[in-house]
Amino acid sequence: MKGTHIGELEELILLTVATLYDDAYGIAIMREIETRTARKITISTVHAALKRLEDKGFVTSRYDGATKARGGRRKHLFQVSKAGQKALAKSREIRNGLWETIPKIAFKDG
Amino acid sequence: MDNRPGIFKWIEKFCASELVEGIMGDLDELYAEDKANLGPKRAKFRLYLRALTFLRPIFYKGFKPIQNPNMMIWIHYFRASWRSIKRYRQNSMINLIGLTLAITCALLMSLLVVDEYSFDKMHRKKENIFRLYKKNVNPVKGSSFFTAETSGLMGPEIVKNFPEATHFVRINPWFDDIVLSYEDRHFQTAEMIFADSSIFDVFDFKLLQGNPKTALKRPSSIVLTQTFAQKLFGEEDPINKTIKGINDLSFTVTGVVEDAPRTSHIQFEALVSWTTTTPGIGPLNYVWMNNWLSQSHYTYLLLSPGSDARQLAQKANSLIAINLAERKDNYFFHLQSLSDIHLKSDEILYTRKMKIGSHQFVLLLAFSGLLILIIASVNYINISLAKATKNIKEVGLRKVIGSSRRQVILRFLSETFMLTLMAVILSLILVYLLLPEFNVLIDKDIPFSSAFKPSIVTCLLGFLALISVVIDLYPAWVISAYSPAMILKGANRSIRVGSLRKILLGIQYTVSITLIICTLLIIRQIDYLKSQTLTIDGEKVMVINLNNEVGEHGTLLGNRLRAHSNITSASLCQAAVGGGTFSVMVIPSGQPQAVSTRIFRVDTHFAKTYGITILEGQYFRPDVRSDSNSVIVNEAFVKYMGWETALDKTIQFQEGGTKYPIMATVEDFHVSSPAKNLVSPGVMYLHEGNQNNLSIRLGQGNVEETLDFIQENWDALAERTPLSYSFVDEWYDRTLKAELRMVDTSVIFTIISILLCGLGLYGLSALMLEQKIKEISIRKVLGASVGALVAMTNRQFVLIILISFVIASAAAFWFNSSWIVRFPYQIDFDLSSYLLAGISSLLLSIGTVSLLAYRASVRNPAITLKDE
Repeated sequence: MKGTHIGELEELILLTVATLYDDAYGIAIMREIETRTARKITISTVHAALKRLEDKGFVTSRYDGATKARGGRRKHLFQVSKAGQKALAKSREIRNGLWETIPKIAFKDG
Repeated sequence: MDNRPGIFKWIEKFCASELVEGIMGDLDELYAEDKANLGPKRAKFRLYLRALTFLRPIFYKGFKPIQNPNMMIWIHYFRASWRSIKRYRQNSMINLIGLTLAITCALLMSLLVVDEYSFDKMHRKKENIFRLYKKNVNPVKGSSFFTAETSGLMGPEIVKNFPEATHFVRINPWFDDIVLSYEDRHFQTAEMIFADSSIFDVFDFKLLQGNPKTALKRPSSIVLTQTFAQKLFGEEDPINKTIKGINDLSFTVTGVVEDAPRTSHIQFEALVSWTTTTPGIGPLNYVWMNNWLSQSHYTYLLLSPGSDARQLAQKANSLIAINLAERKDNYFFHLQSLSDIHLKSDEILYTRKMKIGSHQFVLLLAFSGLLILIIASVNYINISLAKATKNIKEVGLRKVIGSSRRQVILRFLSETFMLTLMAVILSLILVYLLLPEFNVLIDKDIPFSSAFKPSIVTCLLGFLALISVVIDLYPAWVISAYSPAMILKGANRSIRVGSLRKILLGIQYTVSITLIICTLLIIRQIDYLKSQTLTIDGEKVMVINLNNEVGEHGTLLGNRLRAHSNITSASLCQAAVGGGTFSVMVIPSGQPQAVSTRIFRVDTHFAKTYGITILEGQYFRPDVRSDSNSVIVNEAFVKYMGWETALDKTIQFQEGGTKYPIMATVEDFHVSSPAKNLVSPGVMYLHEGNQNNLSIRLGQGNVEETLDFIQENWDALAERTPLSYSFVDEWYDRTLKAELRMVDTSVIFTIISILLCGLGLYGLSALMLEQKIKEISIRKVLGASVGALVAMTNRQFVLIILISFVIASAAAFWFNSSWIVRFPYQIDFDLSSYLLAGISSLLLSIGTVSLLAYRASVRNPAITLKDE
């Protein structure tokens, strides 16, 4: 297996997949990120990140839910795996740990 | 989706299959949305952009996984080879440079050879087309030469008398440049030829317009090549237009022919019907083109299949016995097959304006190319052998894991194959870049597209396979022989290859030193030939040809030009260096035997214009009447006669004719190539007719400005003929063209071979020193000086070079003595060339090795010895 490091964008997408729960496919993820972060992101970037996450074992995927707008094609739906959950939890832990150790005085102006 | 763009297909092909449906679904969904919001046009555009962004490596479905174990092992070999190439970067570079140079040379040579052999192959009847040529024997002197020139009646008579010859074509490429004019457009051509109408039956020159059966039948018909017709007529239809040509006659354009193929020995821009010259029929009335005596045309015959060319040539001799009986002991006919004409005409003289190659030169180049290939291969073998010590551990490990010997050999061969492949690719690039220069060098016009001819591609693949197997088989064989136990014990860390390496190095040096010596000798010989021409200070003399409309105003032009301050002298007469002289028999006073003598019809300015030294007597004076009844001879004439002085002698031009007193002797000067002829006996006299050449001596002033002045004066007199002139020194260089070409090519080959040898020696000694570093360090610890260590390293190389030098000297001496006899003027045995070659290669080698040895010797023994 390739490295299990998780990048910033990957983490964002992983979280989005979790948020969307049963409707996490390319466009939905793109929209969600666009509305939440107000940053433009191309569909191929989303797909690439999803591919990377799947290669690392952080998400699992299945095909379901064909619509007419998609030319009768099913959606490629993603779900966070156990390993993905762990990775997210770990990343959150690190952040929380860091937040907690920030001396109060450091942010007193902000 | 209704009309799906092609990009979807790309995505389907490119992306991993498990992703395709999701990707395309998303794209479609976004497209549908865009279409609703932005309209179909912009939607489609955005779809395209979006789809393109999917063509990135992460989505790539990947190469098909390899299942075949044989393939897998090959991939492994190449991977291992690539690592090895990267690891030994310096050696790999040396090998790559060497192989690239060698393959580039070999490829250029193959291009040349293939091109030379492809001449005249486009004619469908080529098997049955022959050119008539003859051996011209001088029974008195016992000398003979071959010439392709025949009389204008030979062809017709052969076809009339001997049924096996079905067609004849006579061709007479015109001697001078001709201006062809249509209305107010004038273009000059150097390639106007007279030809029989049958030229289109016998050869496959394709007529684009006009009827091949009749185009050249009638007198005053002219057929132009496509390119020339376009120049002269532009968009107009040339057919049946009247143009002005030779001798200001009018010609009717009866056809347009495809340009003469690059690989045809017959070249033309305009074809004029032969009947134009036939007395009583055509306007030109050239008896000499249609009688038995004059020999200046080329005759081609088409034989019926299966007829005996040799026999026909015999029969042709009988025609001479009947029609030109006085020459029956002089002329002996032969037939040369069309495919031999371009390359096998080294011995045949007077092939005017035809594309004739030199078989000898082609062979020489091919041979040199081969030598370069050998030197580079030897480099490779040597470096591979020296590197073997480094590779030996890999061999041991492979064998332990279970490689067979064959597999080990394949592993090393694949490395060589990889390097050779890179070299081939680099060579193709180099050839592309160098081809224009190469064409100039060998005086040809090979296009780069020739490199993709099947024959050349086969050659390339041949090099690739041959080189990679031949040069690495032995090293791979040697290295794969060791038993793994021995290797891994570390008992025997260096490979013994006996004296092979030394022999190979010796071969390399022998070839290289031979090339150096030969090149030096060639340069000196050709320089010597060139110095023969400098008896005339040719630098500033130019000759203007007046064989055209300006001819009648020659005197006027001469006088006008003499007025210019930078024109020191101008001579208007028939004779010039580069033309206007001819040979006749002259009878010196009191001698029974006539002497074949070159005649110079000159004026009173000739000697001054050409800077000819008067050895005795006086040159023709303008105001002394008696001078016009006297002659001047050259040194060669005096020597030939064995006279002490010529001043008290006379000559006659025919028996019982006027005796002309000789008033001076001038030094010898060449009017033909000094590479081919000695200066022949010559006679000068004053003559006012045929003043076809204006020779002009320029002063030290501004040449450009003087040329402008000449141009101006020319334009005032010439209506449709452009000024054409040549400088005498350039003319001499042209007569030595083949020889100068040889100098250039051998210099280049020698430089390449020196470069390769140097590279090889550098690589080899670097590797050897690395293996010896411990020995050197121990010696140093024990007290050896750096100087002694450098000397020790050099010793074995010096010995090899000395032995090579001896062999090379012998080879060069043999070459030189067999080559130099072809020249009428020869340099003496030249020891300095031999010594220069020997000493320079010795110094170069010692320099290279010493540099490396010095670097090795100054290394700290504590570091080099620490791991033992």
